Amino acid sequence: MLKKNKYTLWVVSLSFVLLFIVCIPFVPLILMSFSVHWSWPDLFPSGYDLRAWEYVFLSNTSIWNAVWMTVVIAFVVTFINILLSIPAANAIARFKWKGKAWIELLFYAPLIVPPLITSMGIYLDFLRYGLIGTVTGVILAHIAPTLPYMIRALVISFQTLSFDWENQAATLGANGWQRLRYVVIPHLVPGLIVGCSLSMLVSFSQYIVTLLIGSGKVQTIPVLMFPYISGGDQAIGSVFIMVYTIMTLLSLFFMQFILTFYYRRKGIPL
Amino acid sequence: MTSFQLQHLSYAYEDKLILRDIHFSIQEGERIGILGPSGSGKSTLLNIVAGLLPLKQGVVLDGEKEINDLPPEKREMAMMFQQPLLFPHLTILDNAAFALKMRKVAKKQQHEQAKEWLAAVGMEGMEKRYPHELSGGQQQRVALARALAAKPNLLLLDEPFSALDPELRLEMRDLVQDVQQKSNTTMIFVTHDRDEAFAIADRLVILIDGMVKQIDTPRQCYETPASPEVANFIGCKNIFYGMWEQDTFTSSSFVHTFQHANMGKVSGWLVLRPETISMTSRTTKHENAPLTAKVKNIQYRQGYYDYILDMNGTNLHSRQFTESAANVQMGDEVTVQFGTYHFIEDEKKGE
Amino acid sequence: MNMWQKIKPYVYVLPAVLMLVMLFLGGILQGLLQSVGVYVASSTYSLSFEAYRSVLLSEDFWNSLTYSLTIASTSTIVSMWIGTMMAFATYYLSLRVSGGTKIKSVIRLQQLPLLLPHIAVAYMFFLLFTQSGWISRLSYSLGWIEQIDQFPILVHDPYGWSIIFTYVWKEVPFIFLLVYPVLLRLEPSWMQMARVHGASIRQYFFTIFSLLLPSVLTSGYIVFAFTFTAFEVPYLLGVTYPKHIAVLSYQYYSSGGFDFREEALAVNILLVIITAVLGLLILRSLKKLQWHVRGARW
Repeated sequence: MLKKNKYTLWVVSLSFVLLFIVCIPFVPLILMSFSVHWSWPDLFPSGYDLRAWEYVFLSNTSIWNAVWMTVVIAFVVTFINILLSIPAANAIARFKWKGKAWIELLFYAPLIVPPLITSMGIYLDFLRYGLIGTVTGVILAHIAPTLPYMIRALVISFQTLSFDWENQAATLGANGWQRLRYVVIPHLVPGLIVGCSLSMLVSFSQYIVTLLIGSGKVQTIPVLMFPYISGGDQAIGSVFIMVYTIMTLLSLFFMQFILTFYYRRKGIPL
Repeated sequence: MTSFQLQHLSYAYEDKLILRDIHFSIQEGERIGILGPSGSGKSTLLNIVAGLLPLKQGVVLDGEKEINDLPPEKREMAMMFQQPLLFPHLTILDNAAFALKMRKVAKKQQHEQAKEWLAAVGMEGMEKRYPHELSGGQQQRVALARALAAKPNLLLLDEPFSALDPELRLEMRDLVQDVQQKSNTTMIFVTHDRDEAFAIADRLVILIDGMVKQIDTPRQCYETPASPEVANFIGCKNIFYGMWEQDTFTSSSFVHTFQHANMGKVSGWLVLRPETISMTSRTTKHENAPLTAKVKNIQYRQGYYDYILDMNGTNLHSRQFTESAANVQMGDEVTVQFGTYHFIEDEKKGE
Repeated sequence: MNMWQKIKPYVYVLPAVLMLVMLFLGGILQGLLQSVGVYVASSTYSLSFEAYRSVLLSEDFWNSLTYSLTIASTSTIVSMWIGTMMAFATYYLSLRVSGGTKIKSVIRLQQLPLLLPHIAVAYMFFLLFTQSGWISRLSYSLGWIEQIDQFPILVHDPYGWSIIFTYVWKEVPFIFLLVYPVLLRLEPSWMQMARVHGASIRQYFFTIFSLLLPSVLTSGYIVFAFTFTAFEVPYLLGVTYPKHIAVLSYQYYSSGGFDFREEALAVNILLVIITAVLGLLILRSLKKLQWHVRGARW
C-alpha cells in the first residue's frame, strides 16, 4: 500500500514538473500580448490593454484572409496527401514486391531533406510553368514535406488490417468500393487522424518555402507575421503568435472532431 | 438437384502444386465436409470456390453457369472464417445486416431480417451491442447469423470453430446443423477435426496432399476407407498388410482363416475396426481360434472399454461396450475373434 | 487477374511516386544540375564547379557549417537522452501505478509541444530567454541578478543556446513518441525477472537499451537532419555571424539577383551529401546491431 503511494507521488510530481515546463513558455507570450509599458525588471506589465490586438485585427484586415489562406492550403495539401497515401501505404504495408525498399526510402526522404533545398532547386521550373506566386505552387511545394507523415501513419494502420477483413466483406457481397468505404477506411480512422494532424501542422509551419514559391503574394499567417516577429513591437508579435497557435490547435481539434464524429456518435472507444 | 460442380480443379502456388484435379459436385441443401490434415489444401480449395483465389485450371459451375472469373462479391455465397471478423465499428445488428446493406436492401427490411437471424442463433437482445462487448463464442454466433442473412446459395465455413473451447465447439456444431436444416442452405465445411466432420457432414470429401482420396458418407468413409491413407487419417486403428489365399489372410503378425471368404490371390490391407474385435479369456478353451494375444492396456471410456492387445508384437485395438466386455485384466492371455473386416487391394502390386 | 495481382502494388504507389519524383527528386536533381551550371530548361550547358570551389574556399561556409553542426548535434543528443529517459520513466511508472489514466495524462501533457509550429515556439523562447526576457526578470525578482547585463546572452548568441532550447523542447516529445511504443511491446514480466535476479532499475535499463537503440537512433537521426537544415528557428534566434547554414544558403540565393544562386545550390547539395552520409553510417550500424541482436536470439 505504502509502495503504491510512493509511485503515485512520483507520477504526480512528474506531472507538475511537466506542466511547468510545457506551460511556462506561454506565460510571457500571453502577458506580452496584452501589455502596456512593460519595462525590464518588472515581472508583470504595469498595465493591460487591447492595443496590439486592435492593431492586428482592426488596422490590419488582411489577417482573416491570411488565416483563411493558411487553413485552405493546409486542408488541400492534406486532402491530396490522403488520396496519394491510402494506396501507397497499402502497398508498403501489405504487399511483397521488388523495389519496395527503394520506394520506401523515396517516401521518407523528405523527412531528411528540407523543402527549402528542393524548392530552391525547382524554382526555375515553377517559374517556367507560371507556378511562382500562385496558391497552386505553394500547395505543390507543401506536399513533399507533409506526405511522409501521412504515409507513415497509414502504413502503421494498414499493418494491422489483415486481408481477411476485406475477404470477409467480399464474400458477403461487398464490391471494391464498398470494401474501401465500409471496411478499410473505418479501420484507418485513427491513423488518418494522426496523419492529417501532422500533415496540417507541417503545412502550417512553412514560412520560407511559402515565401519563396509564393514570392510574397501568397500571404499565409507565417508570411504575414514574420516581419513583426523578427524585430519590432513585441506585443504585436505576441498577438500574431497567439493567433497562429490558436489557429493551429483549433484546426487540429476540428480535424480530429470531424474524423472521430462517426465513431463518437456510436460510442466506440478509439 | 446438383447446385455446384467443381471440375478438375488444380492450383499451384509458386511452383508448388497445392490442389490436384479436384472433381466433385454438391447437391442442393447438402452439407459437404472437407476433411484433411493441415496443409492438405482444404482452405485453398474453399478460397477458390469463394473466388478469393484465382482459378488457373478447372471449372467451377453454379448450376449451369461457369463462375471461374466471377469476383467473390458476385457469387452470392457467404463465408465464415476461423476468426469471427465482425466489423468492430458496427453494432451486432448492423454486422448481421451487412450483406443486405451491400445489396442495398431497404433499411427496415435489413434490420428485420438481421433480427430474425440473430434470434435463430440465440443472440436476440444483443442487437445494439458492439463486437468487443461479446465473448468469442457469441461473436462466432453473430458471424453465422451474418453469413446466413446473406441468403447464400452456398455457405462456406473455414474451420470456424477451431479457435473456440471444446464445449463451445460442440454447441456451435449443433447450432450449425440446426440452422442449416431450417434454412436448407447448401454448405461446405472445412475442418481437420474428424469428430466435427463426422458429426456435421452429409458427405465427406477426404483431402490429403491436395488430392481427393474419397467422397462418401461419413459411415462409408469409416467402414470402407478407399485407401490405407484414408483409413489412417480417419483413425482406423487396425490396419494390416498381407496376402489373401482364398479364405486365409497372411500378415507378418498373424494368419487367419475367415469363414465364407473367397478372395482369390491378392495382396493388400486388411482393416479391422476395434468394435468388431472381441476376445475371451484364455482359460476357457476355444479350439478353432488360433489367435492369441496378451492384454497390454485397458482404458475405461464412458460406456465402453478400449483395449490394446499385444499380438505377436503388434498392437491390436479392441473396443467393447461395458455390458458385453470380457472380464479380463491387464497381462491376461486372451483369444481374439475377428468380426466383419474391410479389405483394400494393393493396386500397385496387382497380380 | 494474376497479372493485376502482380502489378497492383506498383499501381498503388505510382501517384505518390510520381508526385515525389517531380517535386522532390526533381528539386534535388535540378539543384544539382544548376549548381554545376547546367540549365536544362534554357538549354544552357556550361559545366563548371566554380560554385563548389568558391563555397569550399570561403571561411563563411566553414564557420556556418561548424556552427550548424554543433547546434544540431547538441540539440539531438540532449533530446535523445531526455526523450529516452522520459519514455523509460513513464514506462516504469506505468508498471508500478495502477490505473492508466494518470499515466495517460502525463503522456498527453508532454505531447503538447508536438502540436505547436516551430516558429511559434521559437518566438516564445525568444520572449523567455532574451536579455530583457521573462527569465531575466524572474532572476531579478528572485535576487539572482541586479543588472540587465548580468543575465547571460542566450538569444542571438554565438552558441545558439535559445535555438537549442527551442529544439529540445520541441523534439523530446517526438523522440518519446517513437521510443515509448517499443517499450510497451516488451514483456512486463522481464522487469520482474530482472528484479528477482537482483538487477537495479538502472541495470535493467541498460539491459533493454539495445532493443530501444534502433528507434532511438532513427528518431534521433530525423531530429538531427531537421535541426541541421531547418531555416525558421535559427533565422529568428540565430546570430548574425556565423549564420546558420540554411540561412547562409538562402541569403546567397536571394541576395542581389542571381549572382550567388549557384553557390546557394552548391551549399544545399553539400548539405544533402552530409546528411545522406550520416544516414548511411547509422543504417550500417543499425544493420550490425540487428545482426547482433538476432544472434542473441531476441
